[in-house]
Amino acid sequence: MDGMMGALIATAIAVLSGMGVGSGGLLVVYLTLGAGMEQAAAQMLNLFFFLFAAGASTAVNIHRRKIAWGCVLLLGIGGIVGAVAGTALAATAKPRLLRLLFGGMLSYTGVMGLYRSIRAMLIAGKQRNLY
Amino acid sequence: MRGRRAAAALDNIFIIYSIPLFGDFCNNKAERKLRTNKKRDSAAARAVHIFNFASAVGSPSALIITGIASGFINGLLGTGGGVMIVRSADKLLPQDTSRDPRDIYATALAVMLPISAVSTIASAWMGAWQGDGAARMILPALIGGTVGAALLERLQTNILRIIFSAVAAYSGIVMLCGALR
Repeated sequence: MDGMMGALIATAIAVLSGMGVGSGGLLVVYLTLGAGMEQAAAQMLNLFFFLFAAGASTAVNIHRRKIAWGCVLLLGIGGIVGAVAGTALAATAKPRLLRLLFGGMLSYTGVMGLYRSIRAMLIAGKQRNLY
Repeated sequence: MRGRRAAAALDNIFIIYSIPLFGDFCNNKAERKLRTNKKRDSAAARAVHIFNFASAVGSPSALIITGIASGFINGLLGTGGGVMIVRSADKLLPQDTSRDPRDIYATALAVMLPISAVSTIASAWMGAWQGDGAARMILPALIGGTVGAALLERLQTNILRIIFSAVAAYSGIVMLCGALR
C-alpha cells in the first residue's frame, strides 16, 4: 500500500466496514490488483485491517445498538474453530485456487447483494404507492 | 424476574403516593429511588436480551454450526464470514435484534472480531503471513471504523449497499477472469 492514495482507499473501505455494508473483499481486490500483493498475504492483511476497523466500530456500537452477546458468544466459539481450519487450509492451498474461490465468492456476494437491495427498494416503492 | 418487577412497581406506587404526604424533604429521595428502580428495570431487560437464546428462532447448536461455517470461510478467503451471519440473522438472532438491520450489522461485526483475531494469529503462527504493510493499516482502519459506526446511525445504507454490491460483483468477475486465464 503506497502513500496517501493507499491510506485514503483503506480509510474509505474501513468506513464501509464500520457501517457493516460489507467491504472486506474490496481491500483484497485493491491489494492484489492495485498493489500487486499475493492473494494469501492480501487476505491476511485484510483480516488484520478488519480487526482495527471492526474493533473501533464495535466500541461505538456497544453503547448505541442492541448486540445479542449470547449469540455472539456461541457464534464466536464455533467461528474460532472454523477460522483455525480455514486458515490452515489457506496456508497450504495454491494461490490460483484461492483466487478462484475468492473471485467466485465476491461475484456471488455482489450479485446477490444487488438483487436483494434492488428488490427491497422496489417492494418499498410499491408499498408507498399503495398508501 | 416477575417478582422483582412487581416489587419495583409496588415500590414506585408507594413513592408516588408518599410524595404529597411527606412533602419536599422526601421528594428528592423519592425521585432518586424512582430513577434507581427504572435503571434496575432497564438493566434487567438488557440482561434478558443478552442471554435470550430462547427467543432466537435457531438453537445454540445452529449458532455454533453457523459460527464454524463463517469462521472457515473467513479463515480461508480472508472475508465473507460476516455476510453469512447477516444473511442468516432472521433464523439465528433474537427477534428484537433481527428486526433492525443496524443491530444485525453490529452483532455480526462483534462476532467477526475474535474470528479475525484468531485467523490473523494462526496465519502468522503457521508462517503464511509475515505482517507486510500491517503498520500502515492501523490508523486508517481505526478512523474509518469509528466514522462508519457513527454514520450507521445517520445514513440510509441501501444505496451504499447497491454501490458496494456492484463494485464487488465487478471485482469478483475481474478476479475470476484473471485466475481462469
